[in-house]
Parts: sequence; C-alpha cells; structure tokens
Amino acid sequence: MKELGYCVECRKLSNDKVCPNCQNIIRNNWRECLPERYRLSDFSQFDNIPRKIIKWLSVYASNFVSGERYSKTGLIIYGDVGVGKTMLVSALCNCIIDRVACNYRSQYSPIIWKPDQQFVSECQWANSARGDKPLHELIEDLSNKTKNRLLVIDDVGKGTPRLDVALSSYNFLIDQIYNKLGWLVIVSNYSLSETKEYLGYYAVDRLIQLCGTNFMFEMKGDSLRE
Amino acid sequence: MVSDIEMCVSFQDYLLLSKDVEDKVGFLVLCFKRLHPDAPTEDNINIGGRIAGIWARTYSKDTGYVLKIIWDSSSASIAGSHLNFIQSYKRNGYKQPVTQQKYAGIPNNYDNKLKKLEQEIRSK
Repeated sequence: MKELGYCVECRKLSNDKVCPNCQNIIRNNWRECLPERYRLSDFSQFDNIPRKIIKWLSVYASNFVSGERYSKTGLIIYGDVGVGKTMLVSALCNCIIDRVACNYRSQYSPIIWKPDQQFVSECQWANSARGDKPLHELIEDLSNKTKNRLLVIDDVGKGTPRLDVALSSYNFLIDQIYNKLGWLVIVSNYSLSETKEYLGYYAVDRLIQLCGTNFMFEMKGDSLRE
Repeated sequence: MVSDIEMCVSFQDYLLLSKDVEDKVGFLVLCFKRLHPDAPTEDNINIGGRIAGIWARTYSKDTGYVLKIIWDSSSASIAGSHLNFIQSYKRNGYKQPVTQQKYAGIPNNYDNKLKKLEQEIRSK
C-alpha cells in the first residue's frame, strides 16, 4: 500500500505524487496540442475498422508509455480522404495522454502534433535569410524531442507537394529520427509507393524499418464526412 | 580568431552599409573564396559574373538571400560546382536535381517489394 503524502500541486493529502484532480487538469492541458475537433476521440468510437488495428495501436501506445525504444517506434497510417485517419491517431494520442505518468505541472505534453503545412512553413522560415536558427538545427532539435515524445505529422504532402525544402526537410527528419530511435507517427493520403515517389527511396526504406509491418495500416472505405 | 557566426554577421553589416553594387558583388566573391578555400578551379571561373547573375535572378533582390546561399553552400556537402548547381536550379526550376537524387542507387526489385508490402498491409 502506498504511503499517504501531499500532492505536489495543490498540497492536499493524496496517495500519488499528484492527486487525481490535478492530474486531470494537467492531462487536459496536454490535450491542447491536438486539434479541437479530435480532443475527445476515443478507440471506442471506431466500429467500422478491424479490432486487430485497434489492438496493434494499443500495443504501440503501451510501448511508448513503457519507453521501449528498441521495438518499432514508427507508425504509418494512410488511406483516402475522410476515412478517419486523423481521428484514429488522435484516439491513440488521447490513449497515450491518459496512460503516461504525470509527475508535475510543467511536464511537457507527450505529444507533438504538427500538420504538414506547419512543419514545412517552419522549415521554410528557418531556411530563409530571416530565420533565427538554421534548418538543420531546427530538425535536430525536433528529432531530439522525439526520444521521449511522440511526433505526429498529419497529412504529409497535402499542402506542399514537390517543394524542395519540404522534401529535404522530411528526408533529414526521418533520417535523424531513424538514427535516434525516436517516436514518429505519419498520417498521409499517400500509399507506400506514392510516398516513395514523393519523399524518395531512402526515406521510405527508413520508414519501413522504423515501423515494421505491424505498425503500418491502410484505412479503406468512403468518406465519413457528411 | 573570428568565429564563423561573427564573420556572417559582419558580412551582412557590410552588405547593408555598402551602396555600390560592384562593391557588393566583389565582396560576395571574396566571401565565396573565403568560405570555399578548397573549391575546384571550375568554381572560380567567371565567378563574379555568375554571382551577379544569381543575384539578378533571385526573386527577393535581397543580398542576405544571396549571402545565405553562399553561406549554406559552405556547410552543405555538395561537392564540386555549387554555383553551377544554383544556376541550374534557377534556370530549370527545382524539380530536376531532386528527381535525379531520388532514384540514385535504387534496387531494381524495390517497387515489387513495396507492392508486396502494401498487399500485406491491405490484407490486415
């Protein structure tokens, strides 16, 4: 049985380092990195996708929570528009946020959510003459963060197809995350062959090694948007 | 000894202060030679004209931008004629060098491997 102590946030008596109320507040703060539409998404909302996929996503979440960086650390979800890719990844993020140990208020969110356009425009800014730090430093910083946080890049290649900066930045980022055994989730409309056309052979080969066949999924069906 | 960052800052100051275009081009040539002491001789042929050409073709008309290109070329591991690369980049658009790079060293049966993998993923 745990010793009764004081919550480090509110100083009330609690069994844990942070009491459940404070934990809820902190976890809700972490959820703010997710898009507002998907903040409450949950695995139980998915009736139409196979349970096997949900099972593997739970395995991925528990790998992340236990910090098993020597297993497969990547995840790719691709499919048509509107089939629920972003929602599924948000459910995964929510599952991780619920399970990660929460020790103090200033702890970073375990998720870094970056839409494609945001990532590419940050890279373009860094690459321009006015950028405050060079592109390689930006990407190295980001890849260092993925050692204990999950980087989600949503809709890869959607907003900025065939931009030179985007291609080289993605290649460098994937290479860095591959070398550092970082956590990376890629959501895309492109299948693997199309990703090879877009990002090149080197990036796709590293992604395959990073994810393994268990953590690559295709979502099929008609658009669920009405 | 002056560090690389201090040198870059002083370059920018100089370019901002100087109003003479020829002076600026001359200075950019000096920058290039300073940053590329081991550049092959073909890089140094007609270098002033080429830097002026690149400068004239840049959309931003910004000396900082040209300086950035020259500065980046010192850190990038692009061997050989970097200025020629930039010129072809400006002339032909950005697709050509990337597509050339993308397919270098790709195994013949790689597409088949990807298709098999996709079928495996689809059958889950």
